[in-house]
Amino acid sequence: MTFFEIKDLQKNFGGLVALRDLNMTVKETEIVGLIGPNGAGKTTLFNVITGVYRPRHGEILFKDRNIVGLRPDRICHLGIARTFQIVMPFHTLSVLDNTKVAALCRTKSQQKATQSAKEILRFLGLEEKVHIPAAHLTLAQKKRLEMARALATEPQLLLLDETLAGLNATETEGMIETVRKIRVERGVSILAVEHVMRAVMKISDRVVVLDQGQKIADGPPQEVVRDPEVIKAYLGDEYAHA
Amino acid sequence: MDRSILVPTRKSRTEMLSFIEATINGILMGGLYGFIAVSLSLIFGVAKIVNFAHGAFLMVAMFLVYWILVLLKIDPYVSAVLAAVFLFFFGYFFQNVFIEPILRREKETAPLTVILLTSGLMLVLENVALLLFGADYRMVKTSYTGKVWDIGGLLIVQPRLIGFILSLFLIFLTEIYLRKTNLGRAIRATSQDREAARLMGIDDYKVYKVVFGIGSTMLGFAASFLVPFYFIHPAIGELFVLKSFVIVVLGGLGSISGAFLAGIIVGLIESLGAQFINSAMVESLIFIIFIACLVVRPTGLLGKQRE
Amino acid sequence: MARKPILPCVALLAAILFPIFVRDPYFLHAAIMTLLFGYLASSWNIIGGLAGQHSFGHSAFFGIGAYTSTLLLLYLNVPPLLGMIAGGLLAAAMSIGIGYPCFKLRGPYFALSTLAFTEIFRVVVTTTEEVGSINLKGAAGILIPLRKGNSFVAFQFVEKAYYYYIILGMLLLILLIYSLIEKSRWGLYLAAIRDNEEAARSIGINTTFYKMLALFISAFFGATAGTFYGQFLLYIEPILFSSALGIEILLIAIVGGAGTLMGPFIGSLILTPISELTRTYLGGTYAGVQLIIYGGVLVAVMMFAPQGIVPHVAKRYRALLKGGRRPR
Repeated sequence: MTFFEIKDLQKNFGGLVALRDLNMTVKETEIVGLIGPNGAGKTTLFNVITGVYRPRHGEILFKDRNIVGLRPDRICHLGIARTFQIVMPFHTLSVLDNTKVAALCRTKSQQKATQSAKEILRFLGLEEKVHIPAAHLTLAQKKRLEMARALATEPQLLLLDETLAGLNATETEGMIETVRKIRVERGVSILAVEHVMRAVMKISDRVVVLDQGQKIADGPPQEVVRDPEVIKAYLGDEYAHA
Repeated sequence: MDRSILVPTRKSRTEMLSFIEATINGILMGGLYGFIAVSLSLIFGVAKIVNFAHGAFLMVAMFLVYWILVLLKIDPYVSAVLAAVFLFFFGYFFQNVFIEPILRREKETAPLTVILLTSGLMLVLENVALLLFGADYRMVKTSYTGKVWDIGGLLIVQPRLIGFILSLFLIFLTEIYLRKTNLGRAIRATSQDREAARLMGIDDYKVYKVVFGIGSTMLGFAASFLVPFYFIHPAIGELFVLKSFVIVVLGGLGSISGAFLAGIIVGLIESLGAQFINSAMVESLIFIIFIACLVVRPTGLLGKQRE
Repeated sequence: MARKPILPCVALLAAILFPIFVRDPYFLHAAIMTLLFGYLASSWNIIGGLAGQHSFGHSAFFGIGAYTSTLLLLYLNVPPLLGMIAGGLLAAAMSIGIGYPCFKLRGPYFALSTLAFTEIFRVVVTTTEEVGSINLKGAAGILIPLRKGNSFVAFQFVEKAYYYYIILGMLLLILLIYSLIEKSRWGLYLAAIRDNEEAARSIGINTTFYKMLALFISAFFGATAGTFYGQFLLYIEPILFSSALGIEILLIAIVGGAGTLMGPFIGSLILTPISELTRTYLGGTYAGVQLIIYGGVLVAVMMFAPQGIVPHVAKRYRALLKGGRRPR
C-alpha cells in the first residue's frame, strides 16, 4: 500500500508557477524534513496536500487513495493533520476546548473527547493550562496547543509548518523532543517544514529540498547538506563550488 | 422614487435613437458612480477600512453644495473646491476621532468593528440630516439644469456630461499622483503589503489618514457634479454606499480603472434596464448580478488575481 | 460549577409578574416590543453570535415570516399559529439559497451580500402587486382584520397581557435552545468556526454545513418573530424586509453582546424602550431620533466595549448573567 506519495504535482497562481513537477513520498513512521529558501513553495505544498488549494495537475496518494479535490475536513478525517506557520488557536476557547473540538473528529461523545483531549495535553505538557483561554498562552505554549489540536484528530500523517520559529533555545529543544516522541509513541509520520537546520539534521530520517517550486534534493540529511545544488539555492553560486 | 432625469420627448423618436441615448446617459451616470466608487476603492483598498458612512459623507457634501447655491447663489461647479476642502477636513476628523483609535487597538479588533462603527456613524449622520432638513426631495435649478445638447438627434443631458468629463479628469490626476509622488508611492506600497511598507519606514497610519482625506475630497467634488441634476435627500447616502461597494467589488479591489469601468457598467445596466423594467426592479437586478459575481469570481471583474 | 442563580431567578419572577402590576397598555406595549426584539436578536445570535457570521440580512426572514402567515391567514384561513410554523419553514428553506452564495464570502463581502439580499426582498415585495390571485399590496402594506375578544386560534387578543406571556415564553424558549446548542458539540464546532474557520476545517469540521445549519435554525425563529409582529400590530409592510431593520437587529445583538446568552436581550432592554419613548414623545420625526440614538450607542459601544455590554460588565464584575464556554 502506498502510504503517502505525491506525483507530478503542479500548482499555479495565475501566471506564477508555485509548484512544478513535484514527486516525493513519505513512508510510515518516517520523519521527513522539508527545507528550502523562502518562497520555495513549502507552505503552498502543505495547502495543496490539505485541500486548501487545488493543484493544476498531479496526484496525491494517501493510503492508496487520491486525495486531490477533497475538502480539507474530509482529508482530516482520512488521517492527515497540520499545524500552521502562524499559530491559529481558537482564541475564545480554553486550551481544553481547543483540543476537545479536534478530538470530536473521532468521537461523538463529549465525554470521550474530553478524556482524549486531556490525555493529549498531558502528553504535550500542557495539563496545567487546560482551563486557560488559548489567547493567554505564550508562543511556545500556543505551538504546543496547535500540535495537541492536530494530534487530537488521530492522524497518521502530521504536517508541521515551522513549529520552531520564534522559540528560544530551551523551547526548541523541548519541541524537538516532543516531535520525536510523537513518532515513537504514537507512530505518526511527520512531514516538517523547518528553517532551523540543526533541528532538521537532528530529527529527520530524510530531507527534501524545494527551490522555486521544484524538488532539488531528496535524501539523508548528511548527503543533502553537502549537495551543491542545495548550497547554490541557499547561498548562491560561489559557495556551491567552494 | 424616480431618479431618472426627464429627457424631453419628441414625437418621431425611433426606438434605436432612444436606445443609444439611454446607453450614453447610462455611461455618463456610470462615470459618476465610478468616480464615487474610486474614492471608496482607495479607502477600502488601501486602508482596508469598510466605511459604510461613505454615502452619508456624500450626502453631507451635497447638502453643503445645495445650501451654498440656495443661500449664497454660488454655482456648484464653483463651490466644488470649497466642498472638496470641507470634505477633506470632515473625513480627516472622522478618521482621526473614530476610526484610528480602533485600528490602533489592533489585537482586539475584528474587521467587523469598523463596519459596525461606520454603520452607526451613517445612522447618526443620516438621521440628523433628516431632522434638520426634513424628508423632502430637493432639486436645484441652475442655468444648465435640464438643459440638453442635441448631438445628431441624440439628447445628452449637460450636467451629466460635464460631471463625467470632470470626474475622468480628476481620476487621471489621482492616478498621476499615485504614480509620481512619494506619498502616492507610499500609498501604493501600503495597499500591497502593509507589513513590508512598515518595514521600509512608511507610517501606515499616516497613509490611512491621507487616503481617507483624498477619498473624502473626491466625494466633495462628486457632490458638486451631482447637485445640478440629481435630487438631494438625507437618505441618499444609503443608495450610493451599497451601489458603490457593489461597484468596487465588481471592479476588483485595488484597481482604480476597474472601479471606474465597473461604475460605467452599472450605470449602463441601470439605464438600459430602466427601458424594460421599472426602476426599483433595476436596483435588485444590480444586487443579483453582484451576488452572482461574488460567487463566481470573488476577485471581481478586473481585480488582482489571487488563486 | 453552579453559582446560586439568584439574579436570573429574580429577573424571571419580575418578568412574570410584570403585567400583573403594570396595567397601563402603553407600558405593556413597550414591554412586548422589547421582548419581541430581544427574541428576534436572540434568533440572530445563533448565526451571528455562536457561529460568528455577522449577517446584516436577518430582516429578510422576519419579513418572510410576517408575510407568509398573514397571506396564509387572509387567503386560506390558516390559523396564525400554523402560519408561524409555515413561515418559519419557508424562511429556513430560503436560508439555504441565501446562505449558499453568501457563505462563500468573508468579512465585509459577506456583510454586503446579506445586505443585498434584504434589499432584493424589499424591492420585490414592494413592486410585485399580485402573484396569481394573491395581492401583496406593495408599499401600502397589508392590514389584518381586527377580531374581537381573545383567541389563540385567531392569535389575536384584546388584552395585551396575552401577547406578553406568549412572547415571554418564546423568548425563554429561544434562550433555552441557544443554551442547548452552545453546550452541545455543535456549539463547539460553531465556536471554532467563529474563531478561525480555516483552522476549524483543518481539524475535520465541515464548516459550510454547520454554518448553513446555524442559519437554518436562525432563519426559522427569526420568521416566527415576524408572525408574532404581524398578529400583534395587525399591519405588515415591505419595510420589514429593509436593510435598516437588518442593521438594527444586528445592532441590538452586538450592543448587548453577540455570542453571549443574554446579550441580545439586554441589548433590546436598553434600546427598544428608547425607541418606544421617542416614538411617543416626538411624534412624526420619531424614527429619526431613535436611529440617532441607536447609531450613537453603536459608535460608543464599538469604541469602548466592542464585545458588547454584557461581556464588558461581566468582565468588570464577574457577575453571571450569561452562560457560556468562557473559561473562568
